[in-house]
Amino acid sequence: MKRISFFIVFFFLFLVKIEAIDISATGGWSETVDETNLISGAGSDLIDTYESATNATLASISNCTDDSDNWRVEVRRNDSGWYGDFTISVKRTSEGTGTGSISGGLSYIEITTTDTELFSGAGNRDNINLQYKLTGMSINVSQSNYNTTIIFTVVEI
Amino acid sequence: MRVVAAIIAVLTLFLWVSSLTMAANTANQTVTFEVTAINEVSVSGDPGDLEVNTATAGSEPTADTDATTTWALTTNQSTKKMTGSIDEAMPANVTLQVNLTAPTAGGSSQGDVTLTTSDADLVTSIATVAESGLTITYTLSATVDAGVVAQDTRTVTLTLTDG
Repeated sequence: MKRISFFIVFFFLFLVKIEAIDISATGGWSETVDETNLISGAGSDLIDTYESATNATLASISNCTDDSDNWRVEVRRNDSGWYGDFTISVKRTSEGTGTGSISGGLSYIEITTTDTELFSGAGNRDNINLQYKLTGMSINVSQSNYNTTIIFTVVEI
Repeated sequence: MRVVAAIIAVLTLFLWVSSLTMAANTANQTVTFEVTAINEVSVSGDPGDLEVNTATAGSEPTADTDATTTWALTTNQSTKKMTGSIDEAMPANVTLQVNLTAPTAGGSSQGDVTLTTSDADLVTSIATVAESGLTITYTLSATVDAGVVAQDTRTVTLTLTDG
């Protein structure tokens, strides 16, 4: 009976322990490049740089134990038909809301295929605005659809 | 007793593994860029008046040329060509020719091409390019058999098309 009680207590303690900090994101960025994006009409190249809306992605951090629960957000990309000369970057454009804190990420950082720290904070934060920038567009980019998946990872620290 | 303990242990392990898959510590966003076919052509303006009004005795009248206008193009596609035509046939024994300078990035000028109401190749094998300031040379010629021809106009249409 005592052993059963011990196991039951251990079981519920484990239940409490397995909750982890979560990240969620909504939005994304879709852009069409056509003749209206030429620098100055026929005879000119395409504009090189494009920026999304400042709130293209809204990211939220949740499931923190309290406001001293420290975390960082990393970012990388996973290409699926991407153009090799494109460079895509992301930056934070708002603090988000919540009782926690947030810092870093206010300047564009390049999104590569390996994780790079974007910003950090503590406690829960909602609706952190993120903006993207793409460079490397030109008429040498053939007619096609180019896609990549941006992966945000929250790491408890 | 042992069975109960084993069941609880297995249940705990199951829930722990489940928690690893339910915890969302990553979030994905999609970025898509659609690049459409881009084919843009322009000319700088109209050439000056062309007038055949001199000759060397014993020879056909002297042709008149104009090389004051240019053309520009941007294409992100390969294997294109420029064609040209006029909206109405020239008078008998009068010829209008056009010579388009090919882009330096790639293309083959067909030289002086006589314009008719049917499309004629002016520049072929055009590859991906963005260039401007390419010279257009118009040449108006007439034989003595044309006689006196009153001033008239023609509209030249230049088209970038699949080559």
